[in-house]
Amino acid sequence: MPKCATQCRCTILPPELLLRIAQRGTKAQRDAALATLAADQTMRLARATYELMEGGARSNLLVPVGAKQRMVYDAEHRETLPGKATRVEGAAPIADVDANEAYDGLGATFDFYARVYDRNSIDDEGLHLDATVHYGRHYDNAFWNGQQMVFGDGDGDLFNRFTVSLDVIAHELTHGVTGDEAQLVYLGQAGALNESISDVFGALVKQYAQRKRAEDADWLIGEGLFTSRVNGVALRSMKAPGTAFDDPVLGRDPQPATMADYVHTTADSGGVHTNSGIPNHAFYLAATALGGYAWEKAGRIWYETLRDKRLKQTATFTQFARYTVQNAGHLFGVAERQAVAGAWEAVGVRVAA
Amino acid sequence: MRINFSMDGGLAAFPGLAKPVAIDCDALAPDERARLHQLVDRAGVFASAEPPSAGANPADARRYTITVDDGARRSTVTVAEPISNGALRALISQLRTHARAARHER
Repeated sequence: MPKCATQCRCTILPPELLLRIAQRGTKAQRDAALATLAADQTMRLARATYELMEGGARSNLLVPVGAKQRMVYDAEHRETLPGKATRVEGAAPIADVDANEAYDGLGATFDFYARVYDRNSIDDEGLHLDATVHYGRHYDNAFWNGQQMVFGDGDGDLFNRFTVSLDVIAHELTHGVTGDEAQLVYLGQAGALNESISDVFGALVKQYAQRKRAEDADWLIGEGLFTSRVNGVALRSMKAPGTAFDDPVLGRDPQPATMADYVHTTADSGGVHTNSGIPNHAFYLAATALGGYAWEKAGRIWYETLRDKRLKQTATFTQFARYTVQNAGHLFGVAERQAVAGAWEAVGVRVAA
Repeated sequence: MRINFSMDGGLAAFPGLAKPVAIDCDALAPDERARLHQLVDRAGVFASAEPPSAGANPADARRYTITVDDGARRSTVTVAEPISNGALRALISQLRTHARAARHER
């Protein structure tokens, strides 16, 4: 038994038993167990307890080391986090589509990082993945707040629910990865790189889930997010930046594909969602030049660059590009190095050899 | 009272949504006018010498800029989500509704 059962003001049932009920009980039992787990943050206590326990005691618990541990909450249209616990790791799908999509998206992203890059969650230390759905009313956004995912329902007029696109979920979680690794500041070129890295791995999580090769992928970010009233296919296109939407209400996709069209602005943290089109397109060009599954070579090169100790928080496109070229050579060889250098060259980022 | 409301940031750059929306409260129905006056008062747009802190600015969080002008006074508040101040959150929620309506009128 965890020490907490006698020492803390937690419930009479040990957290891991509540967790088991939340996973396997009848609906009424599950709801009660989830409410209890959420009410006084027993879930977090269980997690903390788990981390304090000795190896032998841990083996009796449900959660093996390195396994994903998700929790989905329902904000019930309020703007307070995290909300009411609604689906816990291991529980069967529930009646709420958004909660299930969030749960599956967290899982697909965790699995991608674990299997492809041997990364144990966002922080590479097994961080538990939490998400809140039904945040606010008609709420048109999704974000990672540093601790968890937050999804709005969309207004139903321009946007559908924000859990609908797997790449958007992976995009958000990758902000957590970047925050743990390079910590690129969210401003100007470093911010645009931060955004681009989220798009790159967002796209790769989707391609990995669909087992799509670089040449067969759509390279769209957020397909399915727009309602049928919007004239557009997605939020962004890595293949053809600037072409994702052109709509009377939303305006026209402002993304440039090359440095010649770099946008100088103070809005949106210096155009982080605009100028990310340039590194996005460089990645697309590198991935298609290298061919095959994009996560194997291009993705690996970008991932190792994100973890490269030389990469500064204030990195420019040129600095980031230089490290990707060098890492391509170190990881693979001359052909790969040339392919990556050629991709950056094509978007107007010159990398001295 | 006039309110200028704009938002930027969020998951993607939408030039159409980033355009400021001007709300002329005197042109609104009396109920809605009273409601906005009350929300502005409660949010302390004029009251605080020091505007509410924008706080942390997580990636893809939306940021709002509100300028309220009642003829005698003019004050601008900028805040990023998630917004901890409940009164400010309520005001922004209502302004978002107006911005949505304004988009439909076009």
